[in-house]
Amino acid sequence: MKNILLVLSTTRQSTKTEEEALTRAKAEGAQLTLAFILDSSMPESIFEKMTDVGFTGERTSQELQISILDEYRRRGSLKLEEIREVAESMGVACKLVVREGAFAIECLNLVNEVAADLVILTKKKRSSLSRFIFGSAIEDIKGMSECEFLIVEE
Amino acid sequence: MNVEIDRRPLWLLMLVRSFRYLVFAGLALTTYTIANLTPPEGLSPAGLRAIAVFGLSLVLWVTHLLPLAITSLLVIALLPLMGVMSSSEAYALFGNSAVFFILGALILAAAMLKSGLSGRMALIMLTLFGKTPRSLLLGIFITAAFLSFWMPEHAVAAMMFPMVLDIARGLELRPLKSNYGKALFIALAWGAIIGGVATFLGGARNPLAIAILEETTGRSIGFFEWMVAIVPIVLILLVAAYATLSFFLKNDLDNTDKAIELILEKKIALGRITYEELMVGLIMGMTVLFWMFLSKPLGLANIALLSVVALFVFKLVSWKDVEEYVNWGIILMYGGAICLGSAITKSGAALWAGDLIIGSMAGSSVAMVGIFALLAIIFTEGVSNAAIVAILLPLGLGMSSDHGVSPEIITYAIAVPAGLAFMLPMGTPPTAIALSSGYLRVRDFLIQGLVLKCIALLVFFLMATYYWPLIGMNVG
Repeated sequence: MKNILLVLSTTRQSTKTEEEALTRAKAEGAQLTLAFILDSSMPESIFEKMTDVGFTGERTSQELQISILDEYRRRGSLKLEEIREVAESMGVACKLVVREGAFAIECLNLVNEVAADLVILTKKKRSSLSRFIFGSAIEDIKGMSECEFLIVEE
Repeated sequence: MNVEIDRRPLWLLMLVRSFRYLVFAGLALTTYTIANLTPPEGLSPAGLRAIAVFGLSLVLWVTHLLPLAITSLLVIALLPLMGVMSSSEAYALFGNSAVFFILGALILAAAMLKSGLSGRMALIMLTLFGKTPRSLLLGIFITAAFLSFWMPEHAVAAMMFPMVLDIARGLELRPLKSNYGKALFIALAWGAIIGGVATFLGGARNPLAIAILEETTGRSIGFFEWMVAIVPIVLILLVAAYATLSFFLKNDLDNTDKAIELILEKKIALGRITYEELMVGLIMGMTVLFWMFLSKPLGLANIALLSVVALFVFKLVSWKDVEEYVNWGIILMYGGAICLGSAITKSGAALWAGDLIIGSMAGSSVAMVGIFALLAIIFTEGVSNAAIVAILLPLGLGMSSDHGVSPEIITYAIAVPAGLAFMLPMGTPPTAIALSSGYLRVRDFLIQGLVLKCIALLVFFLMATYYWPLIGMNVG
């Protein structure tokens, strides 16, 4: 049975990607792994600002970080549950995974763990210049793995 | 697994990696070159060297190439090394009483957070307001603003954030879609920001401004005096902010029953007020009264430090709590900023540079106040508001006597607008905190933030023109 991996994250998700994953899994009779990567580095800029610009100590930032990450985690799980409901109504078998860490590294780990044949990712809208200067996590992941990728524009 | 992925071209990687060092080398070279130029007419050699250090610190504070506090350390080391002032003079400015006042105020805020008193106050206020969608929104505005009168605005935003998040979740508001969800978080940020300018406690920039004023002119503004001048502006701004928000984000919520239930549950879960909360409240209340009515004879910093001692006498906080809640980098940032302010004003560099940059535009005293207020309110969107005060106030104070403006008026005209960053998350943490909720995007702040900024500037000028003369403060 073919394994399709749909990877979403705090900043990388779109309805188009979800529909594409469900359609492909249904058409190919594949097992769908729905993954959500919680990018814990994302709120860090705020906490740095809190201690640098805001002149507050570590504790205030930590308390805030916990509540923000809890909220993102909850939203991630809800999103996956939402997709699972649709998948099950379409007769697509699926399993859910929530991870925390850097997007590219966690994504590559998941590709190996589930032995994915096809990975479906969302590409954020960005200029070519920005991709050239700052790099692209999606391109990096594609370069590091042998399996097939389907990249859906946000 | 530890994977390093970077597939950009090698030349680009080399350029990106060495860019930082090239910038520092360029800055060092530029500073050295400026300091060794022949001074233009009207500027002393020490003044020119002070300008070179000022320019360097301006770039570093604005770009955040170094943390704010480390830039201040650099300033302290450079001023004696470049012969602008003696080492003993430079390091003595670290001991300014404003530094100890704000330290005391932050320790008191830490006690309020740690004891749970601030959280209880927020819940009580929200219970009083949260009957309808409009009144709940107003409640968040007023609670954030009122608490920011007595605690740093960013600590208020951070403390209330989980409560507002719970309310948004309880009301099943959809992130990025619900107008009410957006309004809740903007109310939190704007309430904290507006409340933060009302006293010396809401924002670190206010005591910094007073310290620079004291060091450069020997004059000062009292705690109560500041409140009398600024609180009416704050009240008008709160009404304006609420109206702006209601106009741009039409209410799309029918009732707040679930939110009221949630707030009540949280309030019940807190139980009865504890000994710690009661005592912290008492000490805080007494301290504020002393600051308001006895700050001149007793001194703001002395009152703050005695209150901190009282917290420890009654075992209301531990030293570990203080270390965790207070950022000690503040001493460094303040020391450097006060030192730089003193150096560029006393060397005559501030007057020379101010006249050169805005002298021709500042034809009258009113125009000068207006220009500084405008610069402060514009730049505060991208730069830390304490840095804005550290950069603009010495220039303003240097020019004030030549333009017939009282130094106190210039201090208000820079410190208050510098605190009003309504549009972008770079300038102030409350906006960044609100954005992190995921209920709104940066663009949700932009238009209404710009409108509120214009209203704020107008309100500031109208109050300065018509209200301040009534309390004995004349701009012209």
